[in-house]
Amino acid sequence: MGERKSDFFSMRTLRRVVQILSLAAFVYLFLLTVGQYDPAAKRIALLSRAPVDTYFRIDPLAGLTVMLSIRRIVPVMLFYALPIVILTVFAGRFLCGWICPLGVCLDIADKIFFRGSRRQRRGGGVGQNRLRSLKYYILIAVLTASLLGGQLVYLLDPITLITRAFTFALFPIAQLGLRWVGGQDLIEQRLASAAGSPLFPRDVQYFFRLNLVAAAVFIGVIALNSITRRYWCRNLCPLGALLAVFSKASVVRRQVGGKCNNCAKCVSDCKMGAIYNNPRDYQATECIYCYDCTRVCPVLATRIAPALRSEGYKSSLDLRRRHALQAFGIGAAFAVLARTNAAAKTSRTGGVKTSSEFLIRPPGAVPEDEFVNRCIRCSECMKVCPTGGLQPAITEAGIAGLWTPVLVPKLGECTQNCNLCSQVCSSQAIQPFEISEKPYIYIGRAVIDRSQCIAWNSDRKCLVCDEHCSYHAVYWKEVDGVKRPFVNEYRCVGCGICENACPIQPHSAIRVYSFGDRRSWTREQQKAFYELGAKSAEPGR
Amino acid sequence: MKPVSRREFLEAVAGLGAALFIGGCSKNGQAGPKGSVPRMPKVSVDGLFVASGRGPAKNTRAAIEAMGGMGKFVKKGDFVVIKPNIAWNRPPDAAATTNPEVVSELVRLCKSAGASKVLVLDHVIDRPAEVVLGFTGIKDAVEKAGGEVKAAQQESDYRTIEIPKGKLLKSDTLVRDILEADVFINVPIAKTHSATRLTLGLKNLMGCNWDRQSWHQSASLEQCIADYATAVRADLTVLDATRILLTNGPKGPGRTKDVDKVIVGTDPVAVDAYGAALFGLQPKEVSHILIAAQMGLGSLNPSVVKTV
Repeated sequence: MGERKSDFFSMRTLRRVVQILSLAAFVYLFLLTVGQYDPAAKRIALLSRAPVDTYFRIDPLAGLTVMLSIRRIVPVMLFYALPIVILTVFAGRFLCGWICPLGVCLDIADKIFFRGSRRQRRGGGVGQNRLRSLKYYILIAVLTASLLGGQLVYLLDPITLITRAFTFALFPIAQLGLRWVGGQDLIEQRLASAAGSPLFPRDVQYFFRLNLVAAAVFIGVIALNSITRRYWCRNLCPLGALLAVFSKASVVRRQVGGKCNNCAKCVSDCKMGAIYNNPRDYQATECIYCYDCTRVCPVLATRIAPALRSEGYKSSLDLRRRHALQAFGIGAAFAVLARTNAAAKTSRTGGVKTSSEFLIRPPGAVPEDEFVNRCIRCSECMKVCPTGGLQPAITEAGIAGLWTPVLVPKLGECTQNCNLCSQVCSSQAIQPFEISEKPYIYIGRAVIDRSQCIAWNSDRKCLVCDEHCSYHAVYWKEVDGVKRPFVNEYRCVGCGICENACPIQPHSAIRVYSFGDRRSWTREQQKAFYELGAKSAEPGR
Repeated sequence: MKPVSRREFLEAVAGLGAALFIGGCSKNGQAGPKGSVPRMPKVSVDGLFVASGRGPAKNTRAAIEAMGGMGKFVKKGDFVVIKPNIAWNRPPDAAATTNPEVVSELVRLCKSAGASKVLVLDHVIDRPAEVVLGFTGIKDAVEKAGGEVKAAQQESDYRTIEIPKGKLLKSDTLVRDILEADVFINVPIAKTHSATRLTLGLKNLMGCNWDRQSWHQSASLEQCIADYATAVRADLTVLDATRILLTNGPKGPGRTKDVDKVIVGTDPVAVDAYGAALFGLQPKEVSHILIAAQMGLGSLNPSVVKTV
């Protein structure tokens, strides 16, 4: 053992450092997904110029499924994901072992929660590879669905899965916790000099629907580690499956030298269970290049290096035709069911879905059919929304639209001088737009419920909706000697500030409905409609 | 790394929990007795002081000097809170928010009178509040003048106060800093208002409480405004009439008029009565001003109006 170098300077240590850095970068970019007042531009802007959606852009599965389903190239996703794909073709599934933030969490959880667990005593889950191909079938189902115009991937893509847990569950808890311990001020003092603005916005405490579900999925994925290490990555992850396919011909291979004494330590230590049967042989498509096997080998017989070899590994995927067809069928069934689901029905009056009158999409959102296919459910728009009004859809958009963003004005309005959601949307389901265009990006329409409104039904002096309206769409007229609110349809964009501020709670007397949604119109049409209204008599006083 | 035993883990969790709990107590535990004493002015000066034609900063300085200087109100080491109207995300020239130069000049005057800290705050309506503080020009102006800015956007920023003279409101909330301040200066802008016709000094105080919606829900918004003003008395009211908003108030955008005036007084009703005249209205025509006068908060016809 004299020739053994220090355990510290090894590829494994490097990999761990990169993993920690990757998780740190992921968390940092996540926290940077926040707006700040930009004194030069005199409006809200992202805190940093860093591309906060980097991890979604480099996710080849997200890019592939989006582009398959909308049948168009999304350049930003292509350009970021392509290098990853090319690297994977040559160097294998390093993304899983070195970069994937969920993978890092799984490895860390392993160290903390699953040390000496029953699993370890059973031998680290060796031989539990029956379900290994499941991830390929999941991938097949996902891609089939995308191709036929229904998105399934986002429930299982690891990058979006972990981000949803961060946005919906961890961040609001962190905010609350900081408030309890008074850490907010501390953080601000530190950051005042460093970044100039807080990462934890002061004036909004985020509350999210489905936060429990997002957390449960995340915890569930971690809990699967109790069966085998990286259970998720071995058996379920469709991104891992895609990368495995790409990595079939990788030239970086594990090699076992003649000194191997068949101690099989590498077999029991492989977190992916890629080394099985005998230590000299491994399943190359399962290897995530963690370099554990090179470190645990007592005789240093194992190394991982570029090599053009044809023996000592297996790279076939071992798919059964029957199962592949079943997966294909499931994906196709999902797509056609999603398309014939009640949520997909469009109203006769135009592009509005009949699934919910409260299906209010963020401004700049593409038309609904394309939106549910483009949106990768990464939750970045909801993280960045400065009022906390963007929420994951539960039933509004049907099964096919689960987790997509909807504006819930009761929780927060779409504030006037802001386009942050469009700036963080990697798939451009929310298209970039200028704030100056906002007066005619119609996302819904406010309707006054006169039976609830106290200005209408009890002659009160309440015009809170008119006061708050940023676009001068709510105005008042004197009717029977009392000022009562009205809505101008040309000016109302459906931002929901009126619904948010209405003192009638919880069912506001003015509510935003989806029939004002004009996404099916071009921007020119929207502008023309707006100008038509501007020509009409100046409403209110 | 040594594996963490269950016992150690639980101990760590319990310790962390206790730390969080204690930390939380120390922050929120200072609430003090429920129902603090109402905030009352210390100094009363007869009449109104109106400065015009010099631009916002100089008008402010001239009016305060005509009144006898800021030293009348602010003593050395005092903590001063200034409450402008910066509810909306509108640029300074839209006349929907208090002119930043008026506010920053007040900060300077307080500072030179010896104030240890001058805090400019409001319960901002448009979101995010940080953006509003920037967009209205307030943050920049105040910080350059040596003051601090704060948006009181969290319920923990507020304390409950008793309103003994209130008819509809018997208690309400008030920004904690105003309760703790030695001097409280109310700096409204003169605007029309859809619900209350005008918003001047009395109405501006509505931005010192946490829950506005309950006032709208109550039997009379105007009575609530007057009730609140009986308990939340500013030491000084400085009405910014540099540019006033004539239509589509309170948020605008609407027609504006350059009046170039700053009106200063200790009588909140008198200041508002003068402000109403700027819009060609009798003070009696604005219900909440009338109610406030009837409740004895001040005079609709100020005895002395000194124009400088």
